[in-house]
Amino acid sequence: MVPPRGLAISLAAFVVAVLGAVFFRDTAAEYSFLMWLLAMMPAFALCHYRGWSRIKLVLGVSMVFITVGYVVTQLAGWRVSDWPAFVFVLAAYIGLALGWGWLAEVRNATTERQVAEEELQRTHQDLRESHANLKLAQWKLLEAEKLETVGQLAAGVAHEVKNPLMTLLTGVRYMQQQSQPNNPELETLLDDMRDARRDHSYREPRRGWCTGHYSV
Amino acid sequence: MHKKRILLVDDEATITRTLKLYLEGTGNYEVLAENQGSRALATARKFRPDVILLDLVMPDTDGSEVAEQLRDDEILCTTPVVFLTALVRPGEVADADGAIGGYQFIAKPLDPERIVACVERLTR
Repeated sequence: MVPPRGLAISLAAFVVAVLGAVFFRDTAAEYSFLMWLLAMMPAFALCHYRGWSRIKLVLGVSMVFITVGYVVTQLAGWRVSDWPAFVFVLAAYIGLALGWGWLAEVRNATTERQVAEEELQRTHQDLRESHANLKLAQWKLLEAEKLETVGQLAAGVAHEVKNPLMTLLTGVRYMQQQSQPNNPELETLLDDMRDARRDHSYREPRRGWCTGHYSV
Repeated sequence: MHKKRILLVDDEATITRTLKLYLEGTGNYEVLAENQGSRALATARKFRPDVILLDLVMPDTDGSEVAEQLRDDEILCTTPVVFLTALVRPGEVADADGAIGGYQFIAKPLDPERIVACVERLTR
């Protein structure tokens, strides 16, 4: 970032150079060389701060040429009558160069903002998708919880049925153990009672209800 | 030959009563029934059983807690423990080859003849 004070100085110097070239045509003829440098040096500093290296290079080369040109014309004793016009063209050139730099900067900023906006849009979309997925997962979890409750209920019912069955089965076996062999009807009856359990008079809960087979 | 001692721990008195009758009826076992899980350890220390048949779901002390107490006991830690439970299905026990987590399991209801076979296998 260029400091605002540097920017103000640069612009003021630029305006002074242009005004000098326009309003003091005759006197400026002798000293316009100084005005050029005065106009170009802050611009050079501005380009340096902003990092506009190509414009900075052009300005630097121009300053060197102007200085060398002035020295050569002085040593040779030449008088160049078109200095003011020359200065005016140069000032316009510097203005264009600076404007170009700013334009590029603004364009960069715009592009960056567009990229950031696209990124924001993508993030927003991702978040919406995540939210939808979470909603779905939550719903599935609720469903799984309901099923698990049903499974636990079934397991509890089975548990309550199995304990009495165990008693009955053991009782039947005890009676068989103790019964006299001369009573075939009782033997048949006890065999039937023992085998009644194997007729699957109760059903096991379906596998997977309470064992986490319901995937989320 | 002395009779093998079996300790039955189950909160269902009807089960322990009938099972005790059946097992003692075979003439090979001395059976003691305990209906409170919290008293199982003390009873086992006095009775010194060869096998402990232990219910899992009991109101005061869970069968698994009793099993842990027995495992931590100096003398009883070598006594085989068989879980007698309605929580698992016969198919699950068969799939696991009778043992789940290092313990023998019997799924209720089971023909007491097979309980006898299991006890015989463990005390051989």
